[in-house]
Amino acid sequence: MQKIALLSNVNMEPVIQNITKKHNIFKTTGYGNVFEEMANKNSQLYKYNPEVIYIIIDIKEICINCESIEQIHLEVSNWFSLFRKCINSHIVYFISDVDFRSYDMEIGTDDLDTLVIEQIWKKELKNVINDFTNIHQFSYKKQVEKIGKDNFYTNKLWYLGRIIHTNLAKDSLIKEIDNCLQLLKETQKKVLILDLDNTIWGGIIGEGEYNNIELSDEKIGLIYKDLQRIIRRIKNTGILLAIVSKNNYEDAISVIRTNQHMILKEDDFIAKKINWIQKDINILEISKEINLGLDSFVFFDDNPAERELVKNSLPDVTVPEFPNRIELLPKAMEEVYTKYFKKLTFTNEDKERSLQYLANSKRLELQKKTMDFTSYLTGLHITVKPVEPFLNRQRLFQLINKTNQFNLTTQRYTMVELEEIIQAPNKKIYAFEISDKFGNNGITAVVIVNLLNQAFIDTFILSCRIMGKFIENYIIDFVEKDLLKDGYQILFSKYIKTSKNKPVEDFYDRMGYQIIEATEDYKIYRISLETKLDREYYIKRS
Amino acid sequence: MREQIFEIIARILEMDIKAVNEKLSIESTEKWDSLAHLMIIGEIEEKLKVNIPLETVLELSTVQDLLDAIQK
Repeated sequence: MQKIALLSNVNMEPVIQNITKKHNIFKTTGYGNVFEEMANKNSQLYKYNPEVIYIIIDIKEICINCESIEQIHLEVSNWFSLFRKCINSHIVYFISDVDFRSYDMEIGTDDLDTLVIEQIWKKELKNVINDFTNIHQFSYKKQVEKIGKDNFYTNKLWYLGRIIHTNLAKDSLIKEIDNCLQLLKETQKKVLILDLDNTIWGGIIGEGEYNNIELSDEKIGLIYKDLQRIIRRIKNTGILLAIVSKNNYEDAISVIRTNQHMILKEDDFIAKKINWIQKDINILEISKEINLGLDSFVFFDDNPAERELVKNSLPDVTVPEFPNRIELLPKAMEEVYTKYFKKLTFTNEDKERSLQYLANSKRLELQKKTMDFTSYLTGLHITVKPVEPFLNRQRLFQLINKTNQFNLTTQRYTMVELEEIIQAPNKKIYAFEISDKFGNNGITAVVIVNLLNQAFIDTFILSCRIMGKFIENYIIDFVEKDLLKDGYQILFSKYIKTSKNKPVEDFYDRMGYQIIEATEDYKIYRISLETKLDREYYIKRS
Repeated sequence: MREQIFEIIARILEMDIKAVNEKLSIESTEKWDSLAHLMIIGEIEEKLKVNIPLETVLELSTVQDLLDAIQK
């Protein structure tokens, strides 16, 4: 099973949890952490070692503070230049195009048209897709269009938990994630084999009645004409077309040559097996003639008996279903294209082009730049402010009892116990409010220390909202320095394993604590506060 | 409706539907964390075409509360 990861600047947990049942997917630590995971070589993401990374971006969040189109340009190009620095050639990326989920940007200005904003993203996305063979587009906007904004987005869950997607949207996204994986696996199809009667035109041609078929600019005729337009587009992408049809050759070819509504011309087909021979035999023959394996063939025919025959006798040939409602015919062909012919992997020619690209100066430029996580974090302008615990006990109660991931001991307390802790002389509780340039995250960290003869960290909790930014390093440093000031030279701590706090199992090890006792279920640590090393963090002093 | 709600809760909390009852509470159910809570509310609202006011969502603590909120 392929190892995949889904990163986003909004909460994608519902999608991720659902995918867990089908794929091996990275359990994100917190949410909104795109670059926190991707730019940091030592992140949990790279420990997980994904083969495919999906990045779904909510553009509204990217330009939440922008007031002009120039600022949006800047934010988006910053995003992509950061992303370019994180690209790993061994990973396949699917990056979403975007949909602006509301129209509020348009209030009072003509500039900030949501469509224009989406285009800015799309342009950068196209560039990066052109530059790297391992990056593809994830069709996000199409999902929104299918369902409609009102059914795709939820305001309630957004305000309650940074989830923007409804259940319906979630299902649609999961399906698309699946499709992309499927495309990676499939061998590229190269040949589309078509039947004639009731497939690329309506009706059955009879002798000498060349204009008796349904192919025109109205009603049923238009359906087939539209279908032919799509097939011609598919052909223009480099796909080969062939005919396998049971007809008299002369009758059929006359229709193709003389019917004024035919979009597909005789020369569009590399092979025309119009005869009364079994279709599987005809297909085999085409395969020999053009020297392509049967696994690169797609066979499109309205007749279920013919489809069944080909499926059974040539199992390598792909045989899509034929729609049972005639108006869905063009759409069905569109799907045949996206499912089997859409290019995911580049042709050799494309590859050469991108290699040339890489050989030019930009390549050197790209390689020179190392992953610049540090400047990203500095640019976030993170501030950490200690707050008064008693006044904020409601929020602390919530944090203590509902945080699962960044929770070293998962020690739960009732409100009464919490109030006691706050007032107890032999306990110290630290609470922190954290904000960055995107806004205030609120009180998102709490530490409880027991002070008997020794100082012992009883609880260390960080909300998943702020994980991955080295904020925990600052907080533990703050607590340690405070305890040292109070005269404690040694600090003890503990990690208790739960099903959800694996991301922090080596937190104290990373902080330079020494294990003094360890079992399957817990580890006890100690550190000397006088000799401890400096910690890495990027907090703006306020 | 009650059964549909129980089914959603059981599925999201990954528990046997027989174990779901009115008394089941957030506090006593480890898997009923804030994310699960939102997923439950979201799915109930969509599937049952009901609206649970945002303020109420924050106050719900048992299955009974949830049923009451929907009946209102």
